[in-house]
Amino acid sequence: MITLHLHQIGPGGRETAHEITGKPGESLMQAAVAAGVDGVAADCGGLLTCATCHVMVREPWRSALPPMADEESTMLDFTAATRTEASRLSCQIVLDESMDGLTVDLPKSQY
Amino acid sequence: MNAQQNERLTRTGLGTDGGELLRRYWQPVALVDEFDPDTDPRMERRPLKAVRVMGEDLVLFRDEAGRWGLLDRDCPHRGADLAYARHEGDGLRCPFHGWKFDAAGRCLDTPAEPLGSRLHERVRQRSYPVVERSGVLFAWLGEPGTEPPFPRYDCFEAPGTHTFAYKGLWHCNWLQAFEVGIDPCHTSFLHRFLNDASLESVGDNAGARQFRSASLGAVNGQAWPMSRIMREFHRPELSSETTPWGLRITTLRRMTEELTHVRVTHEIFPQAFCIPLSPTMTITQWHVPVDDTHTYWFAFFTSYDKPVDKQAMRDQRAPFIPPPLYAPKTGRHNDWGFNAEEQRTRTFLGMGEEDINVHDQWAVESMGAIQDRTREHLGTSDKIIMTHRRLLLKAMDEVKAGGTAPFNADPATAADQVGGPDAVDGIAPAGTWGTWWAEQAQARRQGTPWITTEHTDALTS
Repeated sequence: MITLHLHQIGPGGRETAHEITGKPGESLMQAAVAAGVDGVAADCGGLLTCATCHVMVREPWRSALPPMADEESTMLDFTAATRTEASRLSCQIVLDESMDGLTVDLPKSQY
Repeated sequence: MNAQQNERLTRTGLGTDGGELLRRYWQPVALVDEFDPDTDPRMERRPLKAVRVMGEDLVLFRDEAGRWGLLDRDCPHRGADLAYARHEGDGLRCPFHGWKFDAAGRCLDTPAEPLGSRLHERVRQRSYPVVERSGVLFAWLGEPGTEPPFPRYDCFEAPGTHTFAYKGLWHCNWLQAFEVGIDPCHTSFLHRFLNDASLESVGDNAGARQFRSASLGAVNGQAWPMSRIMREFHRPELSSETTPWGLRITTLRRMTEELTHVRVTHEIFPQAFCIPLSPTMTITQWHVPVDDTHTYWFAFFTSYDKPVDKQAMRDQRAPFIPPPLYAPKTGRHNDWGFNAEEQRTRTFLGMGEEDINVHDQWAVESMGAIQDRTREHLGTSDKIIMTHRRLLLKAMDEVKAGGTAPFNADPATAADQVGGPDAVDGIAPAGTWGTWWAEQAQARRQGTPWITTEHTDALTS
């Protein structure tokens, strides 16, 4: 099991930290949706067509992730919250044991 | 999408988030035709029938004064079934102990009680307001006294001579039944005819020969059937924008350097669509949960020029979807009439050319009673469906937080709705399709005998 931390700023500015677990081979998006984290919408189900599973990855994991493909980068231009240097689409982050402890921030909104 | 979201989007019973939202909008519950003895001979002597809406069981009847009554189906005395009540002209009498109720739910009599009893003054059966529009009875099932004005869409403003209403039962959840109607891409595939009918043979029969009619405009002076445009240009560009009634959906098919096919359709939040059927006819269609695994669609055909031939339109549909239940003869039990040879040679689907309704029926019923959206994958061509689901979830949040439901559930918005929405299908000059379709809509309004300046002004202001 890989432990994952998703930080979400709720209404009123209060931060919620979701601690969830994922399995090797599944995507961060799939783990978040299965755990019911509603800050990850994933309308398209992981096909790179909707940009609603946007996350900002914290260091040191950000630098350790495999680089993104062109398609992911193109879709990131369509996120509701402005794209940052740390932005990724969580459907494209495939979990493995080395990612235990992976920590991301969720945008205020996916729409 | 996770399982909880799918539940939230699809459940409509009392107390569910979806049910609370849908109960903020007027809901069609029956065709007036269902009470016509020509449609159902039983209605001659006893105009009463049971209806089920969003899992609630009700009885609907017309009294001798012509008033419609919609009451809870269980007698408030001991709970016996009022669908078996004695219709006494001025009200319904429960056969169990004789309690009697009028169309407004007032108890008129409790004949087993002692003489002089005033019990009937303290008993009331829940009754629901009913409004008749264009051959359909709409009910207010929400909080009593909070109903917004009835929206004045074209399909309700047109006189009875220019509208025709029909309904049909689908064995599936309302949301998947509705989503096919706001999916502008499926027409290129699901309803594809491998050969076009001649436009002369379609003639004035647009109501029956769906998608066979010509699109407005021409290519090199030649009119094109919608079916050919849909077939040859199957990667449309989609966009939508929020309107007072829901979404305006624009579907562009770039035909040549000079010509763009533009189709403007509408989502009337939360459960109806409005689409063009020919240059002078539209369909506006509601999708009402019977319960969470059955849905009635109610379609209004609206003519912007000549009166409609109601009997002919009824006769075209009744063989496939017969009253009084309006359950299609085809369905899962007979593979929706699937014919592999037809699929190979004549249609993309293989389920007939005469009634394209069965195409949609197959698409939505074959998904299963409640589509498991945790297993689906959406493409960019599904973005209108994504947008609509977001609107639904947001509206459920608002209602749950004690707010006002959006669009025409808001009395301020509904009061301003006069006419529209304008649904158009045509071949436009590529550079000016945006103004072109609006001009076509405007020209149609100006040429429509039943549209007054009030409507035209309201839409252009």
